[in-house]
Amino acid sequence: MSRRGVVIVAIISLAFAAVIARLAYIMLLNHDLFLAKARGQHTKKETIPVKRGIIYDRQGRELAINLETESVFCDPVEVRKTEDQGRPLKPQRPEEVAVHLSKALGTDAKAVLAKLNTDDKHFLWIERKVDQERAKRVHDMKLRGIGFIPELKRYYPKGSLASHLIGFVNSENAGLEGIERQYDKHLSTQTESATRVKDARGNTLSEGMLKELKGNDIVLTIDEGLQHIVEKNLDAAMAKWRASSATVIMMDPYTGEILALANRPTYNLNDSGSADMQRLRNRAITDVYEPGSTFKIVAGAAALEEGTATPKSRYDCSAGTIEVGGRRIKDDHRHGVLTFEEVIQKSSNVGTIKIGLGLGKQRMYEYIRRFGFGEKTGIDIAGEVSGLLRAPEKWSGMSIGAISIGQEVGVTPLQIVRAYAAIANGGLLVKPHVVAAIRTPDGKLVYKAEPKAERILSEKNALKFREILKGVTEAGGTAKTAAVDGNKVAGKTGTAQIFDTRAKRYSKDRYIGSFVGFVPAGDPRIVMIVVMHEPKGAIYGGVVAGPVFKDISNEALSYLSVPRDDQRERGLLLVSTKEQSGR
Amino acid sequence: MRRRRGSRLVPVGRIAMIVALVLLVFSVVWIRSSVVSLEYQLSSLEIKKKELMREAKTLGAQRAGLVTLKRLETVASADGGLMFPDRMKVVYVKNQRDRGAMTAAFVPADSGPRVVRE
Repeated sequence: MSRRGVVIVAIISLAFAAVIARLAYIMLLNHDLFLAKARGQHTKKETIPVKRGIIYDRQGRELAINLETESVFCDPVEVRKTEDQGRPLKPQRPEEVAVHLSKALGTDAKAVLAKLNTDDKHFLWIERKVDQERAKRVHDMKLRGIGFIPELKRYYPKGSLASHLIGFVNSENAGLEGIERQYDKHLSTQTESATRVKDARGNTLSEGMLKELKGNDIVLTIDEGLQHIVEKNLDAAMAKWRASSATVIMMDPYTGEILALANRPTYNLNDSGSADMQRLRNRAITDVYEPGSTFKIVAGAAALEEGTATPKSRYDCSAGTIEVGGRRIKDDHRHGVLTFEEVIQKSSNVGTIKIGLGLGKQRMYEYIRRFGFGEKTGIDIAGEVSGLLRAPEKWSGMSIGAISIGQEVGVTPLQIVRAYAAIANGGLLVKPHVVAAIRTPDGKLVYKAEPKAERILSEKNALKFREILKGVTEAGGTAKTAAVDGNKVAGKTGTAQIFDTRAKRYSKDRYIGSFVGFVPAGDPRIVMIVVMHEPKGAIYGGVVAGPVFKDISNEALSYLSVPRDDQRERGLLLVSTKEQSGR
Repeated sequence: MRRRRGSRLVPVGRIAMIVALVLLVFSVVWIRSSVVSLEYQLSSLEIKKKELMREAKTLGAQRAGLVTLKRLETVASADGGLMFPDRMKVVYVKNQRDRGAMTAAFVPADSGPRVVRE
């Protein structure tokens, strides 16, 4: 090789050696440093959005689902920027951007402009959780400094249906009310992040599908059909009686499953932000009221159970009044001598107080507790209260009389309906619940509700009392208006004066009318309470609540395909069958 | 002769080795670029899938809103002239499917329930 060749080879070899040395420096000595730098440039950590579990009714109808939306944000500095690294940018006036955005999103242009003119901020929300159509309009404008972040939005396809049961979430999808709150940890799950590879242009290189994070699905005990029937009739009753508020609870008396629960006033779940506190209240479990005559079953059932009375025991109610502890309590009108059955049927205060006096305060208190009053029912919805019940040592001289007829005690509608379920099902106090099952996204059963019940009355006495309650909706009873076509109804009316806390006496013009009962009385399928607060034009439970019970029951029994009691008696059936050929 | 043959074979072997090496390098590069290209395709398909899923969810939400019993009842009564069944007019028919086709009709109240077979 010539000398020149040697020189050339030497130079090339040195150059290669330099390259190899540099590579060794990068790849061996500072491997970790440069690897981290490279990763930082072409990988991006993304938070995987958590999809809340779906809430279904007992028939599998969707009550709460997720929608994929986009939230629009702005970088005010970027919006107003006129040049980038010396290069002039396409002029963009914040005033014009604000007008365009407000038109596309339906928001206030002034509010948007105020955000666009904010100094020293690089991130401000313009509008959260925008639907696809509106988001696309903003995308198409290709505005500088306006960005999008995909977000999931909770959507309630049935609007206000069962709003107090289902509840709602906040903007961060955390449960705030109802089932959404109570079962938040099931419906949601831990957020995770994933690393995505991106090229220099920002295009994503997929390394396979990103995993989906989804909470557990919840199946409720309520039935959309029954809930609709309840709400429709409750709305009609509210319009008719112009009540300040109202509640209906329908329950399976054997299992404690809540089949429907509605309160008025109510709100739209998709617009919960605009609802005031009055509308948000789940009065079925949070509002305590004096139950009035619907509470008389406690004294009655206790007397039967303790043997201090029989259905044929007689009580002289002819005076029309009775004095207990210095207070005179009267009946609506004089009844004369009534049997135990008639006392309940006619809802005589005098007769019931005499039954209560026969029991004594200790036993009365014991049975009040047995029926579940003075404590929470344990229903799986947030916000339940235990009601008001004083210990017997704190009772005044008139308390035994007042409590026997449903005064001096505070109950929730749910507590009352549960007590009547115990009469309906033969003496078992059930635990009400609204969640039937919880399933993982892939369908595995995580939780299944099992009926829980505790015996509080003998079956014999419960069935005896059930028969007595049938009389309330029959001729001579206080709630003939609650009688259902084709099926016997057992129940009780209640008309209670509202205690005026300011005047410290019972109001003379503000009442709570209620009816609670079960149907068919012989083989109960539903137990239901209707409570109307401050109805106008009428006050009696039999007038304002009884017809609501009837209308709801008529439709509910049709919906549930419950046969009429008289189907075998009235001879409506004529069936001719044609034998199949060849048989 | 042997040395001549050997000297001819050596460059052929070397060339073959170099070609094989180059092919190997190219095949590695080609495979890698194919993977990257597939990743791009997969990514765009993922985006498409996401969009379709989003659309499906929106349509599902619309469907769920349209089939609420409240709306169905409103449509059925307003447009179809239908009404909630009167329980007193419901006729109960025995479920005897194994016996073939059945017909039912009202009979006088005093005649009691009957089953007539033809």
